[in-house]
Amino acid sequence: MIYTLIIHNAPYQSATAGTALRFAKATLAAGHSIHRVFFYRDGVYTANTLTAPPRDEQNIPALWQQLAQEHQLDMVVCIAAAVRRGVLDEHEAKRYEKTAHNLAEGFELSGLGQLVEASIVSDRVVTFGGPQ
Amino acid sequence: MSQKSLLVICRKPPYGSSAARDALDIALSGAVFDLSVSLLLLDDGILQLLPDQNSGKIGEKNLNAMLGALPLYDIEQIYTSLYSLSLHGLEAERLEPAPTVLSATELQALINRHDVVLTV
Amino acid sequence: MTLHILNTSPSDRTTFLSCRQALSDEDTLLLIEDGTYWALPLHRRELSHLSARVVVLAPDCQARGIGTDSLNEVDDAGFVALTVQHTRIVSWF
Repeated sequence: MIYTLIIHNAPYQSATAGTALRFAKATLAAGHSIHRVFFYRDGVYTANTLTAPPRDEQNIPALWQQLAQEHQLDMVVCIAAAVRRGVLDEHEAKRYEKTAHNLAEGFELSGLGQLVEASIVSDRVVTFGGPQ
Repeated sequence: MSQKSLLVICRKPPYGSSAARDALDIALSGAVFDLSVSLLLLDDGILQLLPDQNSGKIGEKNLNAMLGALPLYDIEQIYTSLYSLSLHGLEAERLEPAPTVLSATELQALINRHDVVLTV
Repeated sequence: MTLHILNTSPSDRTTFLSCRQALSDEDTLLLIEDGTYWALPLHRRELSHLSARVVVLAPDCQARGIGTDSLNEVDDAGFVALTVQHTRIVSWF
């Protein structure tokens, strides 16, 4: 089956990030494919390359990158949500005249249309959300 | 691409968080893709339909006005449940836009006739 | 057939009650994250009144020290299997 996962919450503050990652691994292990992982709302913080957790804690952004690399996952970060929260790729950093950019490798900024398109082509869409 | 139906569920009030706005943005995006989109406002989500919202002084866009514009995007129906109305002592006809009120059985039927359900 | 996923603790009654209204008899309710606290003895009675099937996510129960005896439980692979068995998924949070 073809899946799309939607993640609403930032890593470290919410259990959502860990649950979604475990679910993604289990989905791929069962032989299904993931058409897209869409990071929305505070979920966009997952794509911040400056994330630096203590060594004895899960590095959730790095774990997503690793999974994406192993399985050619398409990881899309909602551009409107990301730019508001200061998660920028090089292109957006230039557009807003910022001196730095911080979108982690393997993630891509794009619009909500990518979420809708993914919902259309997927057999299953699972939302991982939390309070707020 | 096959035509799918999308149900967007929002259970949060306006202004307290971005949830209501973020739900609306998904609904509008679905409509742009010509999906059949319905919006289901449950629990605190029904508070988005309180009339006389004037959010200028808190520096926010009037979310209620945006909901009123949904028919322009072919999102004709906003749904809620009897339970949600009773939770806040509200009457559907005093809300703007007036929602279609569902019993528990009708709520189940609404969910089960949509292909994709997204909660925000 | 719909899979409902609930991740809120029993102190948030409204989310549970709203989810309960949306449950058809043939649906399944999966309790994850803080939703697994519904498996505590005090709250189980309310679960037993549901006509829908109730399943808890075992790793989340174990993490929180919640016993799952006599409840249906799944691991992460079982979570995925539930999403295969149901045509749509509704998340309650």
